[in-house]
Amino acid sequence: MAEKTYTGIGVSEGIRIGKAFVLKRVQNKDVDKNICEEDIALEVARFKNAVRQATDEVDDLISRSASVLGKDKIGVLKGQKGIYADPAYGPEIENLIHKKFYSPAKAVKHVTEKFALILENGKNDYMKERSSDVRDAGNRLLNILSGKKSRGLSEINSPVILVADDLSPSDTVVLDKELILAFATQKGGKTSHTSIFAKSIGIPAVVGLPGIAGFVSNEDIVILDGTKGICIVAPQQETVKAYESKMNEEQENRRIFGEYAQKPAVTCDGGRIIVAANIGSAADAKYAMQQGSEAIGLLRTEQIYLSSHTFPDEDEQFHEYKKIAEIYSAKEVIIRTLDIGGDKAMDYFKIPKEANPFLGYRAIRLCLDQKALFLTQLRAILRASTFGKLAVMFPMISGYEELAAAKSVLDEAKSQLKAENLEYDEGIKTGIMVEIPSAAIMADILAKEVDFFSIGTNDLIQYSLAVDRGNAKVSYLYDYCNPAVIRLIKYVSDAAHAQGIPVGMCGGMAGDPLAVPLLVGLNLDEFSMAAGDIARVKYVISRLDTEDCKKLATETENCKSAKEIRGLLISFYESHVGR
Amino acid sequence: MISKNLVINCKEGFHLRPAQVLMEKVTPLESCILIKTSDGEEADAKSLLGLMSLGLEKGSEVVVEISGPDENKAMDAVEELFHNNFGE
Repeated sequence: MAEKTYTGIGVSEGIRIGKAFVLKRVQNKDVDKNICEEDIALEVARFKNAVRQATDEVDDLISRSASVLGKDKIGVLKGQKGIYADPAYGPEIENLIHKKFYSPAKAVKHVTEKFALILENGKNDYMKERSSDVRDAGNRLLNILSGKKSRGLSEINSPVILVADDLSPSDTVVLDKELILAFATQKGGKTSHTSIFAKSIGIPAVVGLPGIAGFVSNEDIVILDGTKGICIVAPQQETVKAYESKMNEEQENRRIFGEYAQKPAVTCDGGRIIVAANIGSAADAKYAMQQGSEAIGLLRTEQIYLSSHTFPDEDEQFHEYKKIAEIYSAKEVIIRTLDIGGDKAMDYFKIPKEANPFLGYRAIRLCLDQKALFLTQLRAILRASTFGKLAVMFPMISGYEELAAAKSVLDEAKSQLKAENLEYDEGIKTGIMVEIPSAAIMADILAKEVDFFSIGTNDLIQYSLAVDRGNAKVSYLYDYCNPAVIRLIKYVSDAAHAQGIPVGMCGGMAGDPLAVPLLVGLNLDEFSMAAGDIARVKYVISRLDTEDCKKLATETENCKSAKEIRGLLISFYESHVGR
Repeated sequence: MISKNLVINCKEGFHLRPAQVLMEKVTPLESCILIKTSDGEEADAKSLLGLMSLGLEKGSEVVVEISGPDENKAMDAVEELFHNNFGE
């Protein structure tokens, strides 16, 4: 068989080589068939048997998976059992068989879809997720009624690369993670379930490979490169050798970096740097801690607003912030106030269409205009502050006046709580994201008004270079190595230290190993990044000498182009870090 | 048969969690427990799917109709759940 390479979207990094297990969905029989009157009793009995069998199958999965799955995942399986036992499910299906002469398969499909749609249109995400459970329960019945033995995921008994059309939460819930090397799916994108699941358990995945389930057969050797989004079927010997050595190097690196994860980040000359995580919810907090985060440099609060169908009230927010505060206890958690705008608005708060949403009504501007909303969030953060070590951070501050206005609303929230005898951490720190060039330029003045800065390079680069990084025609300009950006970072860092306040960075640049030496040389105190990048960054820091990094930073001062600076970073990295 | 008018006060309406709490509480009871809405829909409280299809919001008023040997005990239990927002 000839070697063939397919390209999709790499959504979870890493290389794996192994045998394929192709998950094929069974085509269900009779879903449009009607039956004759004399067969009713027989068909109803067939249906009842199918339900018994399905229930047994689920019980078997639950007992086999008990040690592997968590309590909440068993809940998904128990939920399926509940559906089979639900007085509104089985009896309605039987009714359709009796009264309308539907075949069991047709009746199952009809009733399953009815309930799945009701849940799908439900008011919260939890109900929507349950709709796929209802469909899974129905599919299990359809498979049994079809009589074909589907090659199920429960049959995997040795490490494989799983190839499928798509994977649903109830598919992944029953997987033995020890036996899955990687995923390759036909459907999906960066935020689909397969991607999120693969990243959460740290295994490589490539999605968006149309037709792949047809091009691979069970037991075929497959190379999956989740970093580059490549899937190679039936590779040649030389290809296998080349990838094997890449894979070994990557695994060795991961092992080495992993040793640094739980240690504090210290340079060779004893310089201590805080390596923190950027997270979006309490659910991410524990994982970030496991990956070695010493603090939360950025808690994005948008998810709480976006996943709700009404404004999340104070109590709801308070509980979410409190959870994170408790997980991190004495380690600082910086909470960024609502940073949302026209491009990604909440469906219960329509923002009128703007010509330039990124330069428009968003973030702090929206909050200052919607004072009740802002007060609610600030009150929730303050109330949660007694449970850990929280800090408040305002996004998109453009200057002194905006900062003063924001601080005054915070003061108002504090006064309200005092008047209501509700406690909050009186020493709670307040800071800003430095992401708008005007704030960077005024950093010396602003540093006197806050307890810390956090540089948001993602937007700082866009605003400074006037480039939309999502625009393919001009995205080549979006580069943190641009000398103007480096000069701004240096200016902000120096201004902060002149006032004795710490400066951190929560933009993507902080998680890029190549940039770390330069940022150390620019005297950054805290690097905050995606949890998965933490171990490697700690490793890099441990290989650095602060004086060398400062020399690197000085060398960049006279560079004319991003290319020059990138060249300096690459050669420094190769000679001082290596991996 | 006893019936009572009760109101849903759960913040996000009568979604999956409160429905599950109700279903689990009433399933072991002998009586038949029906939830009837103001638009004429009704569901068996022992059916999670049935309860979900009612689509009850916060503030919805329903009639709870219970008939059976343990109807008084059942109504007390159901009423208590409504009053503490199903353990929210």
